[in-house]
Amino acid sequence: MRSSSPRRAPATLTVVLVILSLPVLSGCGSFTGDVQEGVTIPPASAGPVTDLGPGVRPLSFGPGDKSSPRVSPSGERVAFVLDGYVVDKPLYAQDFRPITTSDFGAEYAEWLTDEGLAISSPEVGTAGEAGTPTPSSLLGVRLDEGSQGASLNVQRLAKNVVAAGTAPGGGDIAAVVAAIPESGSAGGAAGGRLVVLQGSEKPIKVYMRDIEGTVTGLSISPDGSRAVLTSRRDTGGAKSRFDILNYRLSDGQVRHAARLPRGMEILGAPQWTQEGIYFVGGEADGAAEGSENPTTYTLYRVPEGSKAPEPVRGIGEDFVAASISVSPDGGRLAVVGRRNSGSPTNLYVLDLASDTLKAATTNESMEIKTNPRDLAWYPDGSSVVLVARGAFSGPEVYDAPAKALSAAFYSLYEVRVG
Amino acid sequence: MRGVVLWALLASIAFLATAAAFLLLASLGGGPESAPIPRADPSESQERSALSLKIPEDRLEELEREPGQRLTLDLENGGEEELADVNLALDVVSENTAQPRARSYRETLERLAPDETASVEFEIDLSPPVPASEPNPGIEPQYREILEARASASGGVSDVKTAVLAP
Repeated sequence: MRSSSPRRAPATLTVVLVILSLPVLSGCGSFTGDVQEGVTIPPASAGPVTDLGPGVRPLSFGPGDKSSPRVSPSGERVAFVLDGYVVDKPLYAQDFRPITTSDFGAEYAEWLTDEGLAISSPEVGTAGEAGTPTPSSLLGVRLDEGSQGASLNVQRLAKNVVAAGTAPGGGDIAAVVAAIPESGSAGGAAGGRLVVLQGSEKPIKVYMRDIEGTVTGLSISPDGSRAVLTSRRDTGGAKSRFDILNYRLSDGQVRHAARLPRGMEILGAPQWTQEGIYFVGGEADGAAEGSENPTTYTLYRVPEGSKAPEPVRGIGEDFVAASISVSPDGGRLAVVGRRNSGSPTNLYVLDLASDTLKAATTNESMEIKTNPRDLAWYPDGSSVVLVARGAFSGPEVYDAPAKALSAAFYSLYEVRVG
Repeated sequence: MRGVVLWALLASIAFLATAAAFLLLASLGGGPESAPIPRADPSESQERSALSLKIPEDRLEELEREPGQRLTLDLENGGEEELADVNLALDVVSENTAQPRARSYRETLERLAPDETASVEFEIDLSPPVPASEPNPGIEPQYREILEARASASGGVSDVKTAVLAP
């Protein structure tokens, strides 16, 4: 028994073709699914060579002090702090969207696994003692796209936060160290506990073990299994002593990864890698304002199974390190620093397996920000984002409106390293 | 049964053909349709345009971070026809987008003859902002001052220049 006649096939085909062609005829021809807002940033190969060298392209334009860039876990958006408030935008679009009010006072923002943002908000009247971080709250912000337009869903994730970090590439896991003020103490943020945030609407995991000292840096390993943090004991200056702690997040087991010599300090957060824990360290005394012999910071490594930090040979003896960030695969380290004290600041990539350093930028005339938070990897490890601006002391005149300028102000730059 | 197979085959071909049409349209629409963002490069050579705005750097170097600063901008008609109603706008803003402190100044020239250059003087306020709290040079970013000048005339001719003053 036949279910249909062959003579009916052409008619059926015609009907099918007409139905399938309707979207095209009605003007819905775009199939990319990736509509960018506003002006699209051209690829580095199509644009002019920036002062940071070939293969580098600006990701942001216009006035403002930009900092703390973070690429979303999907690799589609970038969030950053602009003059104290948080904005985000499609990675390669020029226009951005403010997330917070302009007087927010944000220090940083980190992506959560659900593409929400954890934003630091300073806590009023809780300034820490000299040399201790000022506690802040972490606010979870999620953008809800509804039929009535977009709306922000904001909730407080944690308070009394003194350090926070995520896995490189972002999104895998976010962690904070919450300070626990001693009863009867007036301010200050000595001690704390590790907490882990897995999303703006997921429960917070709290590790009950108290951390002694002031936590000054925190990062998450690329696989999300460990938190590495720096704890400073004593009162600061030459009497300070830094410990590096290694938390296993699955069961909260803590291991003292290293204890630094007295008087030696760590800049930023130590980074867990496949070849051990890396950090930027130097003598604490020489960092004083106006010191004739400022501290020269260099890169150290604590090999697996050892508690003794050793200078990293692959960068060269004279290398001055400023900030580091481990790649999402754990095999490379982005390093902002100088070949020697007289050379310009550049971005380098250290291959950890071979211990070889390769310059990723060829900067001669730009100021590259050296704050540890001003360095971020793309989730796929193909690029690194840094913040830089043209260095000039006198006036400069440009043939474009201010909102189209990049080098005139601190801007985000993508540096291909893949 | 053959009819069913034939129908399914033809329907599949039709679907694939339509999908290919979609992809073709997408590739046509998804190309580099956006104009590249204007790149600021002071050394770039510019073609002689009908209306040209100039902010000489030596005049900028004389400016102080105080009120009552005098800045002269030059407007040149490089075309072959007289320009009428030449509007000149100068906006002074801080680089700090959270507190831009916008100050706007406007002037109009009734006409600008071919090959004529007119100088327009503005008295501008370049006083620094009053800090809300005691400034901390070690932490506070050093903001630059932005002078954005726009000139336009009837007929749609225009020019824009941005001067950035270091702190």
